[in-house]
Amino acid sequence: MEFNEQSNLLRNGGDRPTTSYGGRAQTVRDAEEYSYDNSSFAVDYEGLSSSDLVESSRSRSKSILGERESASDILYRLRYSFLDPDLDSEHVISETQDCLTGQDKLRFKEDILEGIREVCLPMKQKLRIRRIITTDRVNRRRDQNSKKYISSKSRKNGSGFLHLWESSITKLTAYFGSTVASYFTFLRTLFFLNLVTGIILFSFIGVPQITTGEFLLDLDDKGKTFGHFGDLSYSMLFYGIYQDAVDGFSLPLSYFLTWIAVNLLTVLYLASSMYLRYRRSKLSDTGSDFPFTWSMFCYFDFTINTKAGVKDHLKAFCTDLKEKIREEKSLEVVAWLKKLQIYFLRLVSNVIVLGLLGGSGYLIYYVAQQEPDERDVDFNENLKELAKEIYERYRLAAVVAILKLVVPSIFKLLVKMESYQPRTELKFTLARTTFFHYASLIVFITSLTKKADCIDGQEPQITSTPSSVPSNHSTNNSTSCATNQCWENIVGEEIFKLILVDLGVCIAVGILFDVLIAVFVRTRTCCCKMDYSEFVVTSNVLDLVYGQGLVWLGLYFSPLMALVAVVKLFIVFYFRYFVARFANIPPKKMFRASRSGSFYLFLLLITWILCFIPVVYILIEKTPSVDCGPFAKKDRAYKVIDFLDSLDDLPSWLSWVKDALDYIATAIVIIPVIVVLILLVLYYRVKSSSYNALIQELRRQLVFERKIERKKVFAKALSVPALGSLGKTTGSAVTGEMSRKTSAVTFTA
Amino acid sequence: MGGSQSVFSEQELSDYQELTYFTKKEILHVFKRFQTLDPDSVERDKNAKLNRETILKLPELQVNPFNDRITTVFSSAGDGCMTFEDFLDMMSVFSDNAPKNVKVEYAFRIYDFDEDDVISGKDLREVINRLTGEQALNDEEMEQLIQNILEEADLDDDDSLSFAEFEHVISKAPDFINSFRIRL
Repeated sequence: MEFNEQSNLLRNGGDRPTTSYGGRAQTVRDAEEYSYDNSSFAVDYEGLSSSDLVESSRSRSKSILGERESASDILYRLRYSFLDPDLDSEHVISETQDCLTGQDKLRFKEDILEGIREVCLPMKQKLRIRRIITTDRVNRRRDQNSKKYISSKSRKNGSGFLHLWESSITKLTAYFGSTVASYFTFLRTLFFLNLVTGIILFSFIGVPQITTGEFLLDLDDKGKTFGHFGDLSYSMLFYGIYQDAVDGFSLPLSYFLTWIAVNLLTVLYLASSMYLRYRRSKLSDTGSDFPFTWSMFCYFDFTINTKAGVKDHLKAFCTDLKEKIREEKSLEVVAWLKKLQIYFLRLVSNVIVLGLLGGSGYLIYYVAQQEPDERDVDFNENLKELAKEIYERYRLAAVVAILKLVVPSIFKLLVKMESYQPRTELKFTLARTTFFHYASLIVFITSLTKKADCIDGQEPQITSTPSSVPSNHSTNNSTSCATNQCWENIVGEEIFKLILVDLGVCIAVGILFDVLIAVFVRTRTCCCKMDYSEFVVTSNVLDLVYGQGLVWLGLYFSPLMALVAVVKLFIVFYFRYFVARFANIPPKKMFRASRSGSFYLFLLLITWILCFIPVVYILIEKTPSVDCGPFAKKDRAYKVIDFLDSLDDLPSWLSWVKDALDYIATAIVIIPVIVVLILLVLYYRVKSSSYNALIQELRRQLVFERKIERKKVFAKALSVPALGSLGKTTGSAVTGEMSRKTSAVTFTA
Repeated sequence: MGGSQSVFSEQELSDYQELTYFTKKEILHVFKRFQTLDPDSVERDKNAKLNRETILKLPELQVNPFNDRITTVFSSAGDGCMTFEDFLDMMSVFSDNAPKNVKVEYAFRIYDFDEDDVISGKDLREVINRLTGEQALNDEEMEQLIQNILEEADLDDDDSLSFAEFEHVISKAPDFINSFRIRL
């Protein structure tokens, strides 16, 4: 029997058969429409009608469902209707529909209508089926439901504001693909996050301040010279101006609570979107289970639709594939001496990395401790003096920004020395760069807050500034520890400076590296084979996360920092967009985009935690400065909340509350709590690893079962004499179909 | 939107909306794109059948290595000619809202070049050739690649991937949904 004939047999499934292949087939056909899958089984392979598979599923089906088919059965048959081209779906449906009445009919219609969309049929057929279902206008309830569904969908897709920059991102996707587009969508998310934060802070803190009418702080006669930005320092941008007494509105309380509320909202948003994405990904992070199959079928990005884009994408695909194949081969045994050399190199590079981290941390701390030479920028002086003054002011920000530029590049070079596999290389570099960013942020903020210690009477380490200090400035230095210094403003300004310098460095690097190289390549002035620079997604994303961390650090010291971030992100978006369009090519190595969807959010969450904790520490430990800001009269900022303030003097019968709170904060309670939490984490780890082991076990069982099934069926197929001549190829096609049907049958069971 | 709205009746639009993963506005947008492929024929008859070359003028499909398979799979006549309904069906499956199982089903059909309901070694070879193109892999690498794929995905050892095996592997892939979409 050839394959064509066999397919003819299949086609007889719906009609009443003219030829019967054995009496058993005839009896099987009594079950008519429902078990057509099984009947064609029996028809093709005579010896098989007694096979367990057919019998058991047939009896099962009859017992469960009775005579009529349900909506899910019909939908199921429609799904596999390509196996049975003569299936008259409309006839079947209208028949079944006529058999039902009332509530059953309604439910039947609803089920079919809901499910018909997912069935893979041509549209015309679906339309016909739909017409049959909806001819009696019984479904008023369904129409109402569908109206709700439609309106919610259109709201999601039609709101143009949330899809800001959508056309630009689409244009980029056409050439670069989804990975690069994910960077821009991440930027857009940050933009909206900052916008919402900024609006909330402004409306609760800024607006009351505006109503008092004071935009700028008056300089006292005491000659306070804090502030590097001239008038901007005394404006609403920074902490110093906010007053502690506004009519009818408690500005300090609002300041504190709004800041806390904004942080809580941020963390809620991050945690919930991470949770949703993680659930959707179905725990598929169990390593790369099927690297080759996935790269074969899922790598090619259908969203790219320019010729050049597709060419580059396929080139990257080819490189990736060749690398993977070579990786497979290279899992050979390396010589003992070579291994030793590799390990030694790795040790050396790790030591260098640690050294770099320690060195840069100390450098930041050292520079932060130096007191800046506070002179007004006088544009009349000559250039050298001007440059020195600017250097004095921006010293700390410049140091941090340059370190941020230099150290990750050193990491990238170092990791090449360690001869890891490319994917591990990427992970290591990413981890080290992230760690470096966080370390620099933490050192930055802690060394800045050392200035606050001045208030408590400690002497800061005044190191002499490199330039010669005229005597009339020494008084400034010695009085920098006096109480009339607004340390929150200083910290806020340093952060603001760092944000600006960061933006400037980003733009400068972009122009220098990407645009200049593009100009060289275009005009072919350089004879060497230079190519356009790639759009490196990971380092750009890390930059964004770092910038956002700075903003979160500065939110307490400068409430409008979020709006500054909004402006900055706007500039960064357009800058990157134009650089990408005119001077960049897609990256040659892909860092998986969709997994990175939740990865970026995870980075953001960690950054939030690392930026929230230092500021909370500052709030708890440091005294607010006495003469500026909303908390001027308080001992600690959080005492603004009356409940916490009144803890100091409670009536005696409530003093146990204070004692209890004090007790909780001691080590005796905290350490067991930490131990219990660690144990909980370990418990969940063990549970999830045992689930992983279960998954592997089930997978092995699946393979085993398929092998056994297939061998069974194939053996029986070959036992039929007419089929004995089937070679392996047609046999495999046959078993392919059978496996599809077998899986179909097992799914119903 | 004014002009194209009058082409479809309210009933038709709501039918389409129920049967695809689009909203009414998106359906009209798809129709507009369909119209730009061959304005004259579509003016005359909105259910005009456009032949394959016309459909492939769409920029999103033009450079895709699998464009001929896509048009074949989605055309109701089976020869690559598509009416607007087929086109709408195709765009709906490739849209962002389509669920994974629908996409996997159609992906299987697209990659099954000889339409025998399995992705055999021959189909795999064809896919690899389309994807690597000029920088072709040499025979040894190709063989090894096919071996690796079958090792990973082929559960019942018949040297080809049935739909169940394909679905089993691909539905776990994290970036399948992101790559298998086309936005109009």
